[in-house]
Amino acid sequence: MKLDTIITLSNNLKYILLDKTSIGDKNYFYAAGVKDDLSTIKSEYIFIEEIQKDGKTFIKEVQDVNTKDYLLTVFTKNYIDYAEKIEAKEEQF
Amino acid sequence: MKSDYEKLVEEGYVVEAVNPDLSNISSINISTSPMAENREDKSVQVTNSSGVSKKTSSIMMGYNKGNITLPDGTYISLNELEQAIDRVFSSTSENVVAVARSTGKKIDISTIKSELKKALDKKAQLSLDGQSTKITNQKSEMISIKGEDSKDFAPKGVLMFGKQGMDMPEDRYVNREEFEKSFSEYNFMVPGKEIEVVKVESADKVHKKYKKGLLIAGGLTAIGLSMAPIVVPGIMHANSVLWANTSNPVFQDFLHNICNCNLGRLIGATFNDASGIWTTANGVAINAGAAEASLLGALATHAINTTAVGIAAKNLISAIKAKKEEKRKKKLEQLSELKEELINSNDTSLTNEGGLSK
Repeated sequence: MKLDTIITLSNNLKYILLDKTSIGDKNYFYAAGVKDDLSTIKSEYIFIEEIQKDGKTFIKEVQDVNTKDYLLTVFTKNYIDYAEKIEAKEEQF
Repeated sequence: MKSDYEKLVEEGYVVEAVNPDLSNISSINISTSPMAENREDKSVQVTNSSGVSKKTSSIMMGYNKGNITLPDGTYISLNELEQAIDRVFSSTSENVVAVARSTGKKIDISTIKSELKKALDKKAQLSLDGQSTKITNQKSEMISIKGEDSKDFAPKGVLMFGKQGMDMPEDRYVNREEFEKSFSEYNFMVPGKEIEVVKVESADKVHKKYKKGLLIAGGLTAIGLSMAPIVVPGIMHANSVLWANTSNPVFQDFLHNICNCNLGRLIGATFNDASGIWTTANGVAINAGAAEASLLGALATHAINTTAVGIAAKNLISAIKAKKEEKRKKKLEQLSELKEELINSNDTSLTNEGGLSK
């Protein structure tokens, strides 16, 4: 799965992938719910794990408190890095 | 050595919400309502499993010379509570595993009910003991109470239900709040649910409508508020940096009033309008240094574990420290280059143009 794309799940829910990290060999994403119009964000933010199986892609919402806490730390670090780049004019707001 | 909880997480198990439905359980609500100074009488409201509610006669605690500890609150029928627990356990998946939060050890679900009962036996309870033989003109229930850390019930008179009456189970009633506290000591875990991704498409329409920075800020603030993590100063610092780098008042309002004011409240931080600086409850300014400290603090709590998360946290700590060292070296190099430039430069530029010698 790639950053800045919208994924549609088999239960018809849609999420935009805002950030990515990995723990060991597993990929994790920070995602926000998107309405069916593909442009409006729902106030629903989750951390998900990507699973590749039999040539298909699945996701699983992260429920484990320790993993969630760690992911929040990583995504916060990435957010700080992004803000510093904006401050240094290396990236646009 | 890994706990059962850590092993289950590694196997992909997740915590599932398992909560008995307490909405239709007969209950007795008591609240302190003294009939004279220094008395500790309790007013009583009863509600049966059909939802019929009635205010009834008070429990006469008098001056409570026996020092019975009987907290105010809702007390629920133990028998109906046990049935509700049986119902929720029989409706959960076969794969559900219970783990004690405090020890991380697996617990046989069949023993949870008796463990809860033991815990509740140490707390205050009420008991409805049947119709009073002395009262014949209306429906009534004799009531007795047991204080915290006591084993014995003491009779405390009669609850009057009026001529029309009301059916309440003759049973022990346990404190609902204490039950919820004891029940929350268990984690119920099930294998994580995987959902297939059926389509991947462009997010252009979202990015046209929202600034990426605000999307990230809003999400991390929402998650931060729900988890109350150590990294709150980090999120607040990044929000402040974005605030300072936009002149759009709507974006600034969102970043300050919606994001940082709520996060600030969560950690007891205060904002100084004059200086524009957020300060933690400990008096530390929320800046880049505080943000980095909060990140390292959060990572350190994970790095003590030998799990995949622990290893990832250790690696990230090393990366942050290496980046910091790299920045320091770069700054030193820049300073030394500047120094060299100044030494090698023609001093006349300073004296003729800059006027430093004048």
